[in-house]
Formats: sequence, C-alpha cells, structure tokens
Amino acid sequence: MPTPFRIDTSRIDDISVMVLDGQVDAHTAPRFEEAIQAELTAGHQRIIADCAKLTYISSAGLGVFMSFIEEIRESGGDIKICSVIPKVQATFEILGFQDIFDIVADVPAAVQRFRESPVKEA
Amino acid sequence: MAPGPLVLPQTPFTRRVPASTAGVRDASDALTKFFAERGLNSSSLWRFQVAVDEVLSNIVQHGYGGESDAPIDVTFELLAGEVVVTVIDDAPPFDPLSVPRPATTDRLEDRPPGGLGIHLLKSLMDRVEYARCEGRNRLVLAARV
Repeated sequence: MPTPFRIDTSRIDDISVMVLDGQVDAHTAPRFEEAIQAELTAGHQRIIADCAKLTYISSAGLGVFMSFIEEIRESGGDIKICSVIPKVQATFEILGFQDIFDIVADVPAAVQRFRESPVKEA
Repeated sequence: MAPGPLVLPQTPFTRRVPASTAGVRDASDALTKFFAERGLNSSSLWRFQVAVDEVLSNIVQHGYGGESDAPIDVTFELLAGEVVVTVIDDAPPFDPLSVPRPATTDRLEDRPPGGLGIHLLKSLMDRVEYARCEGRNRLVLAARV
C-alpha cells in the first residue's frame, strides 16, 4: 500500500501555500522535493508549508526543508511553517527547526510574518 | 500448595521484511499491530515509528545500497516496561552510532549521510545499542512506554 501523501499548492498574492497532507517519509519525500522545486522554477520564492494535515515526518522529509532553505534565502525568499501538530512539532524541535525556520500558528499568521519579516531574523 | 496463576511468556513479535520501501512500511504496520495487541499507550507509538523508519530506511539506502529483496529481521518485545525493537540485517558492517551528530547550520553537502535520522533516533529512544553478531548487524532500540 503506498504511503498516503498529497500536496496541494495555492497562492495568496505572491506567496505559495503548500498543504502537506499525510506522511512524508523516504518514499514520499521526493514528491515534496519536486513540489518545492517546481515553485522555485516558476520564480516563487515565498513558500508557506501548511502542516495541519501532516501526520508524520521522518528525516527524509526534514532534510527536504533543510536542503532548500539556504538557496531560497539567498534569492530573497523564505519557507514559513505553520499549523504543526504536536508529534510533528516534537520531531522539528529535536532537529532545532525552531531556530532555523519561522514556525507560526496558522496560514494567516504565516502570511503576516512574510509581511513583517520576509526572511527569518537570527 | 495451590498452583499460582498461569503466566504465559510474552512471545516476541517478529517480522522478516525485504529491504525496500514496502518492507519499511510492513515493519511500521507490524509495530502498530504490536502496540495494539499488547494494549500499549498509543501516544508513544509515533516515537517508535520514526525510529524504526529511520533505521530501516538507512539499511535500505546505505546498508544494501538501494531497494532489494535482502532480508531485515525486526523483533518487537515488551520487557520490564520497555518496548525493545531489535533490527538485524546482512549488510556490510555499519555502526550508526559512530555517525557524528550533524550541526543544523552545516551546509547540506557537509552533513554526513543519514546523520539527521540517526540524531533523531538517539533523541527519541532511551537506549540504542549496536553489535556485529555472527556476521550480521544488530541494532537494539529501547524506550519506556
């Protein structure tokens, strides 16, 4: 049985909102990677990862976030993460994601963060 | 003297899965079933799911060098309040505990392969032990539930 995972991407002004739905593991991480790459190729450097429906993430998925962040910030964009459920939040925290990424409550808060702080401040 | 209550030994719960994405999923499903059958607190399940996923994915990618039918033996046990997961494979010797912890500020190309996953694994489990036994890799993961 394939790992349940889908990504739906929509736009709010110049921001891409990617809804991650299901599980990101070694099997599905390449699809997540392709989806981010497609946004960058289209010139969309501002991305919100909406994790409300993300039920599980392994290091393969965490590695996708980390592999793009430098490139995106070098071109003036950012990835903001929002709506994270507690067990996924715990996984993020083990790897220190809260120091690397802006992690906020929901999509409106992530949009607002882009307005106030286009790139996470150190 | 009246006989004491009959206590059945906890039989280990073992699965042999192939070194593939499907095998990793089979092992994860078996873990879920083990927790359900033993009536274990499901709030602890996710930690073991991540740990087992990391270990088996590492064996598939780095141990066997990609997907194959090579065997991975996974055993789940409940011992003195700990869930103990033993993973045995026939890949070349590899001690994941020897991989240094990655600095999250390192550039991607500077991070050791599998380093993120192994760091996660060590953080989620109370105990991780590696041994090379009879020509096989043997990794034990344990945490209280």
